Amino acid sequence: MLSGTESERYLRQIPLIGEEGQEKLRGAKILIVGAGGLGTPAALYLAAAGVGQIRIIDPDRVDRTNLNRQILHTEKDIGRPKVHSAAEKLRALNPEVEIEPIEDALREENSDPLVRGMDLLLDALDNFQARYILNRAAVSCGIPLIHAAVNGLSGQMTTVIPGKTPCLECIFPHPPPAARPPVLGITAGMLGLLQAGEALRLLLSQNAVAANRLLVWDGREASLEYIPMDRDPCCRVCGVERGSSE
Amino acid sequence: MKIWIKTFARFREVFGDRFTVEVPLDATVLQVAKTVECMHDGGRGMLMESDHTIRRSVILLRNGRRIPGEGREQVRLSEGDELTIYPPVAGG
Repeated sequence: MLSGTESERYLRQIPLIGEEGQEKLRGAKILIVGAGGLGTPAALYLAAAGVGQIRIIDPDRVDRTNLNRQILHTEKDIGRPKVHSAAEKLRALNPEVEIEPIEDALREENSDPLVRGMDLLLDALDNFQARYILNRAAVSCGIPLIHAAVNGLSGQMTTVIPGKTPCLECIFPHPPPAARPPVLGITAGMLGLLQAGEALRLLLSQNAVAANRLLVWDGREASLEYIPMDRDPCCRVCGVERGSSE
Repeated sequence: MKIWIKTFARFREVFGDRFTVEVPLDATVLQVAKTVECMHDGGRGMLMESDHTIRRSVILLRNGRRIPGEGREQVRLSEGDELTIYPPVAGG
C-alpha cells in the first residue's frame, strides 16, 4: 500500500506501472558500481522513479574534470567523495528512498558481500578489470547485471541474465585497451538513462531489451542499433563446457 | 569478390557506415580486415595490431553471427558476405 505522499510523488507514472509496480520498485534493491558519468544519471532517475534501496560504490573524489558529465556533482563538491556527493543529491530529490554510499573500490574480495541480496547490478565502471570482477560476482550469485560503457559520442549496453544470456566475458573475452577516452556529457547521460530504463523494465518483470545483444548508441546521428550476441559455451565464467577444453 | 563491411562507433567515423571492398576469391577475415584498414590513413592501427593481427578486443560478425575464437582470422568469406566490425568501448 502506497502512502499519501508516495501516491502524490508518483502520480504521473502510476498510470503506466500501476500501484503494484510502484510497490515493486519500492521493494527493490540495486547496486550501482560507479558514481561517475554513467552511475550519476542512472542513480538520479532510479531514485526519482522510487527504487527503494540504492547502494552506490566508488572510491574516488570529485574533481573539476568530472563536471562535464557526472551530473550529481557540482563545483562545491570538488574534493568530496563522489558517493557522499551523490547520496546527498539523491536524498534531496527523493527522501523516501534509502541511499547507501560506500566509499570503496569493487575488488575480488569484497564483491560477494556487496552484490549478495541485491535484485540488480548496474555496471557504471570505467575499466574492464573491475567489470570482470562484477560480472563474475553477478554470475556466481545469479543476479542480473546491466553493463554500459562510452567513448566520445558512442556507447554500448548489454544485459546479463545469469544462466540465460551471454555474460560480459562471453561478449568481451578480451578487454579494449585501457584509456581515458574523450566523452561528451550527453553520451554518458544517454547510456546511463538507457541503463536506468532497462533496470526499471527488469524490476517490473518486463522484457530486457538488451539481453542477448549489444545495444549501440551513436550520438552523431542519434541512432540505436543492436548487434546479436550468443553465449560462449567455453566461457571461463559462465560456459557450460568450461574446463573441458583445459 | 565483393564483401560488405558494416562498422560502428569510431570505426564508422573513419571508414564509413556500410560499404563494400574488393578482395581475392576465398579471402580470409584477416585479408579483408587488412584491406579495410588500408582504405584510410586515419584508420591505421585502429583495427590491426603492429604484428599485423586483428586487435583481439574487436568484435567480428559474419552475416550477423559472431566469429569466435582464436582461429577467426583464418575464416574464409564468400562473395556477398557482410563482415560487421565493432570496437568495444570502456569509458564510464
